[in-house]
Amino acid sequence: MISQEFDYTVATSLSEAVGLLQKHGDKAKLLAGGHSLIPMMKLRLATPGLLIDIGRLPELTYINEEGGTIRIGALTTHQLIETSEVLNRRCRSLAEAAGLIGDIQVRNKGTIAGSIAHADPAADYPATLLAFDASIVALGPKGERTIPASQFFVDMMTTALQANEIVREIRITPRSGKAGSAYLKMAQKASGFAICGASANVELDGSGAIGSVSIGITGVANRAFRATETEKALIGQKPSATLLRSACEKASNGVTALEDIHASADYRLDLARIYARRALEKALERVS
Amino acid sequence: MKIEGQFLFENISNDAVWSFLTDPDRIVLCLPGCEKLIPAADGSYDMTMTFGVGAIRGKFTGNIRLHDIHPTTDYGMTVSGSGAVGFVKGEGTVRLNTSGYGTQVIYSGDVSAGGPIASLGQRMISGAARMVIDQFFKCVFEKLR
Repeated sequence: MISQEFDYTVATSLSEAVGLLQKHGDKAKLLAGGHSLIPMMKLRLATPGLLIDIGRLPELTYINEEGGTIRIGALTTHQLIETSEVLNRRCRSLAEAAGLIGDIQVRNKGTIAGSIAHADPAADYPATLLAFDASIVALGPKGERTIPASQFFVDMMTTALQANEIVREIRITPRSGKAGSAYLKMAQKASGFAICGASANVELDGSGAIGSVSIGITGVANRAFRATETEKALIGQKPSATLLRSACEKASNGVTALEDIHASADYRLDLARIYARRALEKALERVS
Repeated sequence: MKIEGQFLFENISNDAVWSFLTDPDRIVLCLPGCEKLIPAADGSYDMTMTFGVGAIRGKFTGNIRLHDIHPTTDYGMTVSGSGAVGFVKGEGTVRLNTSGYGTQVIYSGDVSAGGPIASLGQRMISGAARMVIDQFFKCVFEKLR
């Protein structure tokens, strides 16, 4: 199908884009890589009256490491994240998640902020950003504010962003001790979207016990979530196959799962338990 | 797709919840994006609803019918809607239980969809339906409190 008619304008700065959002309200949508919005427009599921193209702001593409914190610019593509030396070294699961998005054409154009602002319940990044306790820096008419990932993903395709706010940057401060991370997913074959994706971060203390652990799960429910009961069962314990198995049994406790022709709700809940364990095992293998 | 759930109307009587949920003039106050319910000849109601989840937005015209009504305990509901983004149909039952804390509403049903919304949005329909139902009950609760 061909999209409904729309107006198009190119923003020459982020603050100009904020101003345009302010002026046009609900009718306007931001265009970055266009790999979520354009397919929806072609099916006429989304019919914005105005597209504000922010995809040509070169200053928003970067991956910087400053002190212990890594800052990722809003327009950084999945491909740049997948192949980034810094991210592969310090945030392996994020690079891994990026590399599993769609196909290479999608990864060359799609951007991290575009993906998270769209907040597809089956997107890959949310699981990893939750597991890293990342924060999202948003720019609005009143300036910048920082939103923790745990508050950013509100519901299906709904984020904490106001209608006149734009994601400017994603910040991650990975653990610097004996830590490892991994992202694994079971993808829907045609779309590549996660039926279940699990992202695990684990850090061992001096005695070899689990000093910190976090697990984010996507694709299963309306929004990505942390497997908090599993995390509680693991903390302070020495990792073993029995421990991981019993802790991960709790990975989807209390979760209301999505259901579609690809997977029933119960199957998704079960995948969450299994993928949480596999991601943890892999993260533990990578502890260095 | 099956959709099931429940909502607790804390400290609100069964009668109050029942009369709200079966009164078209009050339902319309809480249906997200619903402009009006117009009585049709067969006892059902026609409606226009603007519905949106994130970037997906569409105007639906539809019909809602309550049937097998057993006052203050349960009723059946048939909902259908269609618009440029496709069509959605749902069939379900709503049951009211009095508990020590108030009134518990338990709903279960089946939702199906066709057209563009089904090809791209299929995996999101059960979640989107739950969002609308939640918003609806929360709003009813606010009005009854």
